[in-house]
Amino acid sequence: MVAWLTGFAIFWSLVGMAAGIYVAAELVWPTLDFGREWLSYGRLRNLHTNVVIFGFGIAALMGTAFYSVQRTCHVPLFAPGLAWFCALAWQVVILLGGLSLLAGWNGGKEYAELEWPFDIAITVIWVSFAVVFFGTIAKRRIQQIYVSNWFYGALIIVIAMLHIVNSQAIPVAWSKSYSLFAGAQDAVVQWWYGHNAVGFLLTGGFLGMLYYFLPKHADRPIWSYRLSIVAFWAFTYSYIWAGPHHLHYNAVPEWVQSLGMVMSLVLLAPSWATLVNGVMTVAGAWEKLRTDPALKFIVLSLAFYGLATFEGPMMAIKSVNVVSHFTDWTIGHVHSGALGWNALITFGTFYFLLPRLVGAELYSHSLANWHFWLALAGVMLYVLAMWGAGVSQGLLWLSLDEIGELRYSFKDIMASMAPYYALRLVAGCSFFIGAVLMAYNLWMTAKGRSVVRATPPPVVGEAW
Amino acid sequence: MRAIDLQRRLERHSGWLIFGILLVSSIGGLVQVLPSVLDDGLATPAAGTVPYDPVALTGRDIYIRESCSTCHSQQVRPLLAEVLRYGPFSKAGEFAFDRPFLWGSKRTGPDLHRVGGKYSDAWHRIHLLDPRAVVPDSIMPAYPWLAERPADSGGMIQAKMRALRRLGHPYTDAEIEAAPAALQGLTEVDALVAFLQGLGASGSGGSP
Amino acid sequence: MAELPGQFWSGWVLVLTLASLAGLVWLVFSLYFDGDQKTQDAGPIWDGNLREGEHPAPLWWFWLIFISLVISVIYLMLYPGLGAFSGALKWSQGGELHERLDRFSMEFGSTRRLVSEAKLETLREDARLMASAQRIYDRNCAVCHGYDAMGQADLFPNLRDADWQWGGDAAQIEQSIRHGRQAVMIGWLPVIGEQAVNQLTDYVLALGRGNAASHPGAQAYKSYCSACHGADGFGNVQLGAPNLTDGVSLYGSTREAIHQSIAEGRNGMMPAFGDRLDDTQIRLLVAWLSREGDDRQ
Repeated sequence: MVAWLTGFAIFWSLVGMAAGIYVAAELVWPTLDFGREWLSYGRLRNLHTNVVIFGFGIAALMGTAFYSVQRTCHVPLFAPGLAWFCALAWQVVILLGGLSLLAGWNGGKEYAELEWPFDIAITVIWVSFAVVFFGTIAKRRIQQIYVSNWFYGALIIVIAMLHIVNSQAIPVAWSKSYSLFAGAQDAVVQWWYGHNAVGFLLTGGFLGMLYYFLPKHADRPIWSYRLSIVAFWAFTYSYIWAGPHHLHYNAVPEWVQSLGMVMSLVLLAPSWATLVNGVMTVAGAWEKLRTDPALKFIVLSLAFYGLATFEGPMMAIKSVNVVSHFTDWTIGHVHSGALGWNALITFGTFYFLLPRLVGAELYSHSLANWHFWLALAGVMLYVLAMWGAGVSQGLLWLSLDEIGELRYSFKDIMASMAPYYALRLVAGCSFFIGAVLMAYNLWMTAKGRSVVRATPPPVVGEAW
Repeated sequence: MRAIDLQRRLERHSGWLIFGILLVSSIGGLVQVLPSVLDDGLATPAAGTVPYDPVALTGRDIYIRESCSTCHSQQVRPLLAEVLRYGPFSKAGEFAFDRPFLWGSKRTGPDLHRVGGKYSDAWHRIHLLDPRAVVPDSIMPAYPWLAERPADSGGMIQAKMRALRRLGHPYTDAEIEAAPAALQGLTEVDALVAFLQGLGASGSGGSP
Repeated sequence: MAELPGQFWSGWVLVLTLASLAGLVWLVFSLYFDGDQKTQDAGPIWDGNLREGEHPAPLWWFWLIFISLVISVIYLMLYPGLGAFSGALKWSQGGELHERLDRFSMEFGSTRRLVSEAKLETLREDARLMASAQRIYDRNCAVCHGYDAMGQADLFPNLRDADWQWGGDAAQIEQSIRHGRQAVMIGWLPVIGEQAVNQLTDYVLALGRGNAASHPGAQAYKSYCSACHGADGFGNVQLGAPNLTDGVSLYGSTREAIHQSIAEGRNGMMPAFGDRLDDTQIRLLVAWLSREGDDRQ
């Protein structure tokens, strides 16, 4: 099942990135939709974000969570039938949900576009996921629960809470519903959801992946247990407050904005606690970096994690946000996280995991190295292009002339973005080609083989 | 008690761990979201803010369907340059009938909260169907299909208004009764233009 | 004035925020300074090789979170955040905008007032002001009338020719900008029938070519059109009825376009910008658009 989820994750990453490249191209050549509704930017962009976050991200997280929770609890999964249901039903939701987005079904809330029938299906699957995960933990044979499972647990609990609250709506038809919340209240709820979908899914969930696969692979203990503790609880506490930094200077009360801003600043420390923990864990195993593509990906992803979690609090400062809000800077920030951190750590994990699952050597180290450099070039170019675009948008929008007239019309600023958007397209293609190489490489590794049943390692410690 | 001892207990008992995560992760929401949702101040309509009429409501749902808010914000921030460019800044009460809110997070195109009345209906129609016919450098998609379909092809307008009435939008029976007639003969682009032309009306005037 | 929560919610926000922050401080202090840093029990080994490290948490990290917490508390003392406590600085985003607007008037107010009262010739001679005028035009007018102001889409008039439907002198242009214009030409097909429309179409085409004399459509023109477009077809700027003799036709000069205008009517509409533009901006636009003449001699 883990192998299947790995396969689904790779499949969705390719679909999602292809959609991303297509919408990037539409910003360069706006007639690329050929007048077709389902190729139109607005709909395809929703497909891109949903397939990448919920298709690729959740499939990767579910697969690695099912894998690592068995290994760290030293027991097979609780309710394996239910686990299969989660794994497969999730793919059906993404497939049908993706099609519904192309058909124009849209709840209208960013990163929660899927309409209410899908919201209900997601809730059912998510509860099943929780039952399998916590059921496995409950019957564990080693008393202490390993740190990666704290993070995966937080992912499951918090996403359930956010999803259920934010999706409250009154249905009108299968394809249409109205949010229970209106206007400014809806905005506060939505960004509490939106920011923490980033927080507990794209950050917390993947930190679970990190805390299992990095020390596993580096064959070193987690550097500081105490740092893990404070990182986890401070992270879980402060992240959830940070949503209102998406609403700085918007029509929500100042006190909400201020709390969102200060907690975003506090968040830097727990984010970097894990960064330090990860870097110091791998510090004793630098020699592996020369030969091991999987570890290279994971360490690079840590670097981008550090950058993105520094950039985030900076952008949450109100005076910086005045410039950065509504610009491509935000897009660059998201992608330094999504490509640099989420995708790279997942790729590293897959290069490590899949050969083990099928009991074979990786098909080609040189292809994996090519992937590494294409991905690095892609994400660097992407982030730089969006910084350039975002900062110039932000500043040019504010610029006044000698008598206090705005110096640039919106259209002039928009038209000057063309080179940045073209660069971004190139960057996306580079990243995508790397991912295709990975898909081929892992396919050739797994071809004709079946999953090897691993014997659980002996329990060392307080048994149950 | 020491934190390390508490941690030892939490990480040995999965129930306590789950409880701990729930507790710690819910504080932020309890402080920021709960008062915002329960406090009436944010939900009180501003003077002049009324529920969308059937045509504008239909247009708004088309705006949502095509994800216009992906590229267009509806939120003028109280910043000098923004007020100069777009008009009076947005107030919470102006969005009291917005389900969901459509403030957006990105301006690939300009803000639209004060666009109502700035251009003629005829311009909007051309621009929606073929943006480059009037703005040569535009990178906005064309929406030719909007002119080809009746505004309410699903026949949903009355169900929509009843659903919104359950949420507190003060539609009268007579208004709901008359809604299909108001949409009779209109295309999707007509409805969308009507929605755009009504945007920001309650806050217009007095722009510096 | 900042929007602040009511009394109950204010207390709720204040207590929960401070209590939970105190909890965070306790967690950090307890983990760092419980006098137990070195004596770590060996701990279990998960999955063959996963262990907890025994390193104490680094001290610089303590300072990182400590400083960010101190900054947060200071910020919450100065700015609204803790419920109804509006902060020592009494800051609000509306207040900040007012301050910026005051500074804007101090910096630019006198210049802008001079501009709004200046003679058009003077404004036209100042290249920098004309650059500002063009910026105003680009932001407000160009998407309809074109970035070259030459009109477009057979719907939005050219502002660079001499043909002004509603009059091209400064006062008339100002009127158009400030209050907008709404043309009302009815569709004649239901009134006069296809044959008469065709005849009128030919007559208008002939008028445009300047050879309408003794044209058979003259009688119909006189009956239906001359009230607005004038006996000789020179138009009427008061009504926005265009000149039909100059060969310039907003909606297109083809036979089909003119036929459509007569049969279905035209309702050209220019929105009012009096609420969106101030006197300075309107004055600059008038100067930039009009070539000569001034109404404020």
